[in-house]
Amino acid sequence: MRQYCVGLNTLIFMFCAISCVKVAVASSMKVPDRIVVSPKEIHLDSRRAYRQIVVTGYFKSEVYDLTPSAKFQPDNKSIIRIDGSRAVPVGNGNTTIKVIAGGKTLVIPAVISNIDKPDPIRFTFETIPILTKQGCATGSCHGSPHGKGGFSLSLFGYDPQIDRISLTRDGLSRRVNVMEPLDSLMMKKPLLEIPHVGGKRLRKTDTGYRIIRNWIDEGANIDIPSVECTAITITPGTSRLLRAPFMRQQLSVLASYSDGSKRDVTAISTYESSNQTVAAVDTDGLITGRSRGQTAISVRYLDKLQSVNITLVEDIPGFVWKKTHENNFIDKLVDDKLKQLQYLPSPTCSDQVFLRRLSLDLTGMLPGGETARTFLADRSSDKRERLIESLLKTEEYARFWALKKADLMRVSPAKLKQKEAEDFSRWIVDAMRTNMPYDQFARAILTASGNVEQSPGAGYFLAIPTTEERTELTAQVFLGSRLECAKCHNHPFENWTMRDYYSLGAVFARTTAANGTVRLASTGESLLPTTKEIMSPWGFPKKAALNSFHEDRRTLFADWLTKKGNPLFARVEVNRIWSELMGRGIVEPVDDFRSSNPASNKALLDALAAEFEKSGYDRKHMIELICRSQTYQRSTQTNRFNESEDSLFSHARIRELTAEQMKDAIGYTTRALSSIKTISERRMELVKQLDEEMQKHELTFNAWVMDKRKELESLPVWLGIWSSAGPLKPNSQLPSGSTSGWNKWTDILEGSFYELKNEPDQVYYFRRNIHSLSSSEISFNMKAGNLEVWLNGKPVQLAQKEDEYHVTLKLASGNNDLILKAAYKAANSAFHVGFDLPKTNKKQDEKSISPYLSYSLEILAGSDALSEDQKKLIHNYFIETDAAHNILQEKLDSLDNRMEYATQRPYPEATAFTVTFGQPLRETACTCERRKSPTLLQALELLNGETAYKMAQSGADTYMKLDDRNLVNTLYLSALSRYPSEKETKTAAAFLAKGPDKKNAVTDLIWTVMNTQEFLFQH
Amino acid sequence: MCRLFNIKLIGSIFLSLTAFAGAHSATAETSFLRDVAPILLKRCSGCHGERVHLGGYRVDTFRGLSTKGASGLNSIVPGKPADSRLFQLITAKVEAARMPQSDDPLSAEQIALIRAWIAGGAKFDGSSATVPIKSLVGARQHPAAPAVYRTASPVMALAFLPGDREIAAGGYNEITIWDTFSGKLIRRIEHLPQRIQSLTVSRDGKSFLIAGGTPGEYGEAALVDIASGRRSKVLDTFNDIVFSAVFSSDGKRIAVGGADMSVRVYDADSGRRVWMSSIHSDWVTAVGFSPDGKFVASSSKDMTVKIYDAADGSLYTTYNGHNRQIGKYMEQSPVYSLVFENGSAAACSAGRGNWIQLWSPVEAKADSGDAGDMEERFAKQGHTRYIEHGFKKGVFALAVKGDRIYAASADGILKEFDLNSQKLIRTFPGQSDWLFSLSTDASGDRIAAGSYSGEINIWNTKYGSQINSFYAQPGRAQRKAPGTSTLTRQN
Repeated sequence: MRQYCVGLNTLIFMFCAISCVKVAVASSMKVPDRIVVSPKEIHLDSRRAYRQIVVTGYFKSEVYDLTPSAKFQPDNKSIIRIDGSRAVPVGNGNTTIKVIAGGKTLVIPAVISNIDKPDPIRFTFETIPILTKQGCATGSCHGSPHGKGGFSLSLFGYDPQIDRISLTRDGLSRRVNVMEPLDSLMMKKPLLEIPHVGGKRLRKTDTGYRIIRNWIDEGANIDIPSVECTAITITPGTSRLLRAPFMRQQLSVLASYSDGSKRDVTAISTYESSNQTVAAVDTDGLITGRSRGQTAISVRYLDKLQSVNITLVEDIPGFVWKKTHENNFIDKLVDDKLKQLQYLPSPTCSDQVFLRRLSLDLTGMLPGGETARTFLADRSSDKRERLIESLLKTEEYARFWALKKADLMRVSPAKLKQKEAEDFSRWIVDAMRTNMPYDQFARAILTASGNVEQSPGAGYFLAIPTTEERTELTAQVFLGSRLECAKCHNHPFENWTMRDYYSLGAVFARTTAANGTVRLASTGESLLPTTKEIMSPWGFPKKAALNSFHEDRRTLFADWLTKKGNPLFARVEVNRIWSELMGRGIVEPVDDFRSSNPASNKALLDALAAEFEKSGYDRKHMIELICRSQTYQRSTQTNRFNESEDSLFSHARIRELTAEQMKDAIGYTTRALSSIKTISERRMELVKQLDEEMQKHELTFNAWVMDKRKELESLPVWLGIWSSAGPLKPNSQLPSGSTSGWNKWTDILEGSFYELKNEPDQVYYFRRNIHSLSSSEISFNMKAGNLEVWLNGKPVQLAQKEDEYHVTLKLASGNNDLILKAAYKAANSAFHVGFDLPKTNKKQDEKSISPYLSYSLEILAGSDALSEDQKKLIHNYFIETDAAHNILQEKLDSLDNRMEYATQRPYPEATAFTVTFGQPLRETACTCERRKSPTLLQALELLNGETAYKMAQSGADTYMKLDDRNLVNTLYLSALSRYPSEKETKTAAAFLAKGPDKKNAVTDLIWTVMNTQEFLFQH
Repeated sequence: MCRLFNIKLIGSIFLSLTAFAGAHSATAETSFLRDVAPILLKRCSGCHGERVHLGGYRVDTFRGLSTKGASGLNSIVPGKPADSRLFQLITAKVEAARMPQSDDPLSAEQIALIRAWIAGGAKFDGSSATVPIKSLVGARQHPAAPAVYRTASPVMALAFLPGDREIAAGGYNEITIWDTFSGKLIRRIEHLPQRIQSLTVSRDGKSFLIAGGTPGEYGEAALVDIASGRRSKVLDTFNDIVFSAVFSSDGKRIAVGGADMSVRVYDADSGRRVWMSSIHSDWVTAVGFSPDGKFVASSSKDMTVKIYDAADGSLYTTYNGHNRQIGKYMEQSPVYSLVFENGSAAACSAGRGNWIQLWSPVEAKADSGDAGDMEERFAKQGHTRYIEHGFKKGVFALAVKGDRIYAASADGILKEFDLNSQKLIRTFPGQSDWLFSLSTDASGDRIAAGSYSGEINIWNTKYGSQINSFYAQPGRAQRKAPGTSTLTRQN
């Protein structure tokens, strides 16, 4: 016992000592200039009302919370009392509270009324928020779509209609016990008085305990009032600084309702800190700082969600701010933040690092050995600026940045037809090349109509056919917001509601995308699933009647989106640009803008967005601005004051090359890819060869025509191209003339099925030329609802077997004209015809060409008098049949499309290599689809992979032509944009000299350099 | 500050001395099952139970109670309370360490009882140290019902008494008996389970068969002697509330089912359990005997109805008509009610779906077929007859009388259908809150329905008129004229 007391005394002594130290620190702090108490006056109009008081001290330029240390003295304790820092009513009447903090005193009036009147718990405004606060209604518990343990609540109480039934009547009415409230399952389970899989969720000291108990005690009333909560007001607003000794901040939350009433909901709101290591928040809204950094405290009450951004500043021993050179406003804003949080920025990176970094960022490619030599030798002071300027003008820039956009827009042959993908991506490249203002770019995409040829932006809608996908993709790409959650319930972390989701959906409800064409429909609405209410499209003026607007709904949305001052549009795009250049967004992830995921430097993002708007949404301007900043040009080397810093841009980030960059970098270093600078030379060479090939063939064209015609006429039988007219009304005139009114069916395959647009009362005509050397007989089968056939103008008798016709045709010698008239029934809308050709003898078979003629050849067989157009067609056909010409043309196209370079193709081929290195398959609109973290597979691919080694081997041939010193220099300049160090040169030279097989040694050297961290990463 | 701390310290020493003194006053003959087990079940087993066992310690069995937890210290040292970890923790002076955590401490009496039990050698007076203590404690002694109900209690069970002049309703810890015509409270049979979910009168008219309990912790099926108002036999206790208990038509057997997902059958005379089956994956909401006594059926929230051989409980077949994913009668709905028709011996089942389904166990087995005809089976509708009831929220009670079936719904409406034609005969007037219980009288002239709001409505089945409507709430002034409802529509 004695010992125990001694121990305790020591403990007490220590406790006092700690408090004394704290007091000493506090008193050393300056006295505030003034204090402000919120609220200015207290009105409590119910026995259960309370008011959280927040006392703020103003110290010259800084503002801190004094609530935790403030003293509150009510003038009349029989009217009001203070519980912690909350004012609680005791009796009706008027009084004052004296607030003493930081040596200052302030008196606030208080008016208490209705203390003697009953004020039952309000189900919607109190019980439901408590279910969220205690964690019952979260997505992993009873708020999940199927609930838990048979008990289901709406997620975060978004639908009180569901909760009221769940609590009282569902589950055979087992959850509340109005006779003995404490014996309710709703009490016993969360209190863990009986087993509860969700564990202990409620303590007797919680406000929630009292609310649920009293709510049941008062009869478990589930009235849902017509009043709604319209807003919450949080003191102290949207952001606060914490600095020792002011490590705490009390929040107060005031809810406003549609009937004009207000009530303090601090005790029943839900709080969460996005970064627990920086600051924690307790259930009463008291924030306690822990360590240096930034966090967002999100405050939720019903469907209202707001965040308070907390910045915690600590004095770091030994930290002294060193003024760095500021190139533009970016540096100032970045440095302000660094200075405040006491991180020391890294110095400027070297020229060689800058060259390689910038080149990879702007063009996707390594700068090239020659450029490196020149740049490193350049002594002028503005060489970095000039490099930025010149790279922005390159074709490589346009193509590489188009690739990034095409990633998001799902430009992929899997989502679009090959031609559509080509046209759409070419348009994106053009937009990047011409630096199309970003608002115009967005508008062109969002309001595109027609096919991709007419309106290339239509590719956006063609790749995403459903309204849901359009809603979600548009929100993600242009608003940087992930809206998927709001499809089924209000967004759990954001103010996006289900109404917003379907309102955005209404924008696209009248846009169809089918058969390669985007069209506007005259009908189509987006309905709120819960109430079936027709939603007004996003961007519509609030008062406008839904049916008063008949134009393209997308136009109004695009107007809203691209209007200056839109809270997201400019921010989202500058943030994306920033992220591409810096390796991390100011908001990260870049498509997850929400108040609970704040910008790491809000002032910076705001300033960049303002500049972007001011420049007329000039993307190149923003890229140039960022690249010119000291921030961009910082070294990746950290110092002891910024080594832990990860989001404020005090140093550059080391980034692995992307899949496409890696492929091209290895290709270029090993010389498997030629330098992109040689493209125009190589092109000129090809064009010359192609010209020569053409001239050579021109001489033989006429002879070829004669031969070909002879050949055709000597064939026993051949079938011409299909053409069709229709759909037509059954009694319409058949198109007259041989060709006009008939459309070619160039891509038809004999014997295949073709779905025809099945509309009642319509017929289709099909026509075909059949050549026969002599009178002969051919037959065909056709599947159709009803069929009539004419051969050379005469009707043919038909035998029908169910829906299949078997027809035999007696052909005249020469050309025969076959016409089919098919009427389609609902169940029989497929067109299918297959010919049985007469048997030919073997000799004739040998010289026969395919009996199904291309359109061009059919022209040739037709007549001697060819029109100019027809002549041209034949000529093209003639040229195309020449293999040598085709190879040259392919090479030229490939060069023009820069097919060899993965970074230069808006939709690069997905190879095993690029997929291993994180190339996205473009299944989603998320930049996260491009994997950024290195994997074991990548290491294996580089160390043991065949691709890499073979390329190194082939590269050896080129490098071997150089003398050793030159070889090493060139290799280092190509791969790393720098000269080797003295030591590297020596080691490499020794290695090359030692080996018996020179080629093997060079291969190994290339392979070694390719496997250095310096090569694989961007610094 | 320092001063305050000292005062607190003195206070807590004082308190622990008081507890110490109290321990001496408790009798030496403490019984584990009688005195200690109820405390463990009420205050400890939530955190140290079968599913959750914080600190690696569980008190759901006696063996668990005497085993060391994660601390490695002896939980119970017979004869030495001060060395027993359990006792140290329930009497810990520092609140952060004290059990139960974040809760009120045990009362001085409870602590004294536990102390005395340990001091007396911590003897176990149960039959097995490895079965749940809960099952050893036996049937609870129930408290008296509240003299006056502070609010209406949901009427989950109803039964007309022989002679039809009186109707019994499940109350709170009691059965209340009311005059059918005047709605006056005639009698109260108290000391029964907290909620009565099922109420049936035996064939001889002498007993009530009741089922009920306390949600989430206790269930009971018992026979109550009507004359004396005493529980004559407790058939069984359960881990959760019991929803349904019925007699076979010859009165010799009793079937019981509830929230513990089991179905149990007893011999009515001896009270001996004949068989038990636990093959449902969710609550058993209702049980029934086929009129010929061959089958027992159980409906469940798991969307099935199971049919058992009444003799031994072996599964005869499973009726899946409430879980159809294709076809015209597509629904996936929990089944809440089940009764047998007398004439054709068809089972009638209904729940959250759109139809009351009438089907025969034998044909249901044929419809179920074997795995080989799966595709065919999904495609065909089977032999079931469907009554489209037109309710929005589902059916919680069914009653059959002759060729009529009555369905009470959560819409607050009672409807009558013809079993042969499956046509609606009438919708009874007067709307209420969710209806949970139904009873027809012996003559078949009257039907009564009980609701969430505590209301009992009685109608004449010949004319469809409402005879009476009152709240089954002792102490409440009845004020309603028949045919009116003052309930504000809340659902």
